[in-house]
Amino acid sequence: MENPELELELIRRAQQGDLRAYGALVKRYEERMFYTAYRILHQREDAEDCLQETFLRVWDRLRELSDVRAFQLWVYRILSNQALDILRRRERQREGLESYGSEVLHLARVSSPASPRELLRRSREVERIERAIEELPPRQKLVFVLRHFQGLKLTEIAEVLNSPLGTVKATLHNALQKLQGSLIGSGEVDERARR
Amino acid sequence: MIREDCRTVTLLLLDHVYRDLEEVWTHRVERHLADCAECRERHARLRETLELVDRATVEPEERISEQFAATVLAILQRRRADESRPWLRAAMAACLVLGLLAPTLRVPSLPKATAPNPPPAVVELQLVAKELNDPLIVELAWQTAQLSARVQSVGFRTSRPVS
Repeated sequence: MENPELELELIRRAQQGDLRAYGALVKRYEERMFYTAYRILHQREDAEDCLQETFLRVWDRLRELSDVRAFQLWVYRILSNQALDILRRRERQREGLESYGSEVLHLARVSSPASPRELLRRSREVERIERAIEELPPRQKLVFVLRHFQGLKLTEIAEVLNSPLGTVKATLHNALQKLQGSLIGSGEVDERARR
Repeated sequence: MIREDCRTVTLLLLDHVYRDLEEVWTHRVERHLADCAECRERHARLRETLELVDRATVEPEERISEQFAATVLAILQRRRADESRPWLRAAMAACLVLGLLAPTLRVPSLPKATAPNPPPAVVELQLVAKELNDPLIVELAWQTAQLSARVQSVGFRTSRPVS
């Protein structure tokens, strides 16, 4: 990140209630965080809602942050919790929809991409891969996105999720097994090794 | 039968692919991969999966709206303004109660609201509404002014006659 000293100064000023400094911080982080949210939620509106709620909460709790150098991971933590909430809410809605029949359920599942035009532009392969990621269970998807797209180390993800490192590792492993199964066939070889 | 080495390496494959391993372990894993066809296959499949993912999702097409930061700041500024006027909530609650009570008041067909001097609280609410430019508060201020004008013009009588 460019000029970390300036960023620390912005965080300190924001902690003292300086809204302009906080605005500058939001600007610095919005794109990175939006992509994280978008990769997890696959819908622009949900991603922006998630991000808005995240930055409002960050402001509300900024004074609780004692180590300003941990700001980024802390924002990731709040964002992750928000995104997980949205994913769980969606799962509940999906379960509710199931009682109305599989056709409705199918529509709900395929309705995530943004527009018909966008759908047309995507190749089948791209769509297949995006679907495979989208269908990961919420926590697996979150860990995978943080590791693979955001480049967070597993120790950092453990901190973000407040989980033991081993749990995070196992979650990522399971996510990759699922992706592998969906994209290039079942992971028979791996299963034998784990037995 | 899976060798003990394979078990260990399987656990480290992910770290190896993501280059999270220390050098010593990286060499150890690579030495094992050179000897073991099964682990090599596992490693290749893992890499293939991740490469597929990368190919499909290099850059999301969606962009965050340009006004995002401004919107967040506007919400925070409005909240701050609300906090600096603690009476505003009370005034809004009072307006709501008045609005709910309005149907129980016996108010004959009324002239247009042209009250010359609305009460100071109403004037203040109108000023705040103008300042905040919030449609809900503007509507509330307008309703309150109307109600105030009606009450002033016809008097304040309950629908039940006093025995």
